Amino acid sequence: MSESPEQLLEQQKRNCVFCKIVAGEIASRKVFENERFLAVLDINPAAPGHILLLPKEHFPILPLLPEQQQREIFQLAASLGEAAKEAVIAQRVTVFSASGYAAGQQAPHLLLHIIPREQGDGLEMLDLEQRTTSQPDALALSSLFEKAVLQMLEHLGRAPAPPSAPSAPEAPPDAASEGSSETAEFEDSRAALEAVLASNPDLRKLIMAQPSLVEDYVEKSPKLRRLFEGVNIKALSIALNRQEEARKDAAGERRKAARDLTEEELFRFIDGNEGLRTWLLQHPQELAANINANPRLQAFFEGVDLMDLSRRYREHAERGA
Amino acid sequence: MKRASGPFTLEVPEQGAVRGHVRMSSSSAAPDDIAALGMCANVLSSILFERMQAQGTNIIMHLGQGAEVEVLARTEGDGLDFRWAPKQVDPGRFEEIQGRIQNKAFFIGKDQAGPSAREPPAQNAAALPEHHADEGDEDELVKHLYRIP
Repeated sequence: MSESPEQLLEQQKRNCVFCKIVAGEIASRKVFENERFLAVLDINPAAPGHILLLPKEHFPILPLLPEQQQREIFQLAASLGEAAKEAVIAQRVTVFSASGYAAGQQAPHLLLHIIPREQGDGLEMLDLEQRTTSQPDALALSSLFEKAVLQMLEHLGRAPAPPSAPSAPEAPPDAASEGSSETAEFEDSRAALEAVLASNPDLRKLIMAQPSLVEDYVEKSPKLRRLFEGVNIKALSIALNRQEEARKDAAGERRKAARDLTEEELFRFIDGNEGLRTWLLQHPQELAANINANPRLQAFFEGVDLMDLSRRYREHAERGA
Repeated sequence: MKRASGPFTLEVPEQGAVRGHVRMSSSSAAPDDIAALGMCANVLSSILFERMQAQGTNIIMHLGQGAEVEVLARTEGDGLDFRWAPKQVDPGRFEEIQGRIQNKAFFIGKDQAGPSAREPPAQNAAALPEHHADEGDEDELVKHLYRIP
């Protein structure tokens, strides 16, 4: 007779070494405990001060842990990491968790490994410096992940804000007159924004790379709304990108745009960029939509008919195959 | 492809450690920020399970001045191996580290408690060896000296 999932879980609990540690049936070197969590020193440590943080109740993997306890386990991991780092005078801490056998999970009880780190400690595999697997769907995934993360942050009550919002906003620039061109609007407001942008390169980069995202932030933050009142952020982005191109031109650093390349050079460039290649061959319309939202890509593909490029590149790829 | 996601930066590197590798970073390593990062990483991990037909996932956080979180979709034979060789730590050193961490961890979650709660229990205080610049402490002192900018 086959057992139900509940019966299997009960059996797993009965045989679980960490449930026995929680119950005090197996000795451990406890370093912290509250009502829901226990932290003990790992008896086979990856480094001195290696802590195992576990929920007292049996949960096999992180996604099964209730939300409030997920929040608490990561808060505790940060605090215990700091404690372990200070205790053994380490440079930093790595927190490692594995869900599933394929990920290296060895016990059926959720554990966070909190490992103090030193240079040359032999744990470099945790730093993931070897990155040789191409991710052709990086563009599509990043968009999906971004939405999921923003939803989660909203759920957590952490209203998104720019990574480094200006702390002392200048007086808001005057609204540009109606009917003027986008670039002219920027010209009018440039003086007022210049100081803020000069003192905040991250904000400048963000406006250049993701004006739509900045528009979202501005809409949600009264402080930013005052600062950017009357400013067309997309126009500002275009102007800043042009400024940057002009600077690169002057310094001889400007990257070529697609229109500057021969067809052979352009195809070679696409051949070497698997993500772009996949999008161009399989999702040219989505690529066009993404390009419109990204001023840098827009600058590179300016004047290029993407559907025509997709068709020509497909022919080129088929010839190559 | 790097994107700002609220207070964090999100990146799906074109060259990853595996197919299904996402990285998030934050300039802060405060517990509340780490909790938010961890919960976001957990959501990403669930998406990776579904989208990449992963057989497992890893969440690896590097905490220093700021925080970086790597989320990995795992399949058997994907070439990653996080098994480490256990370090030999003698029982005396184990006990000393345990005492030190217990002392430092004693205040976790007690920030809102009254002043009386901010005293470590006597047995924990006893577990912390007195600090003398003798031979046993030399390594720790040298480590401290290296950290002075």
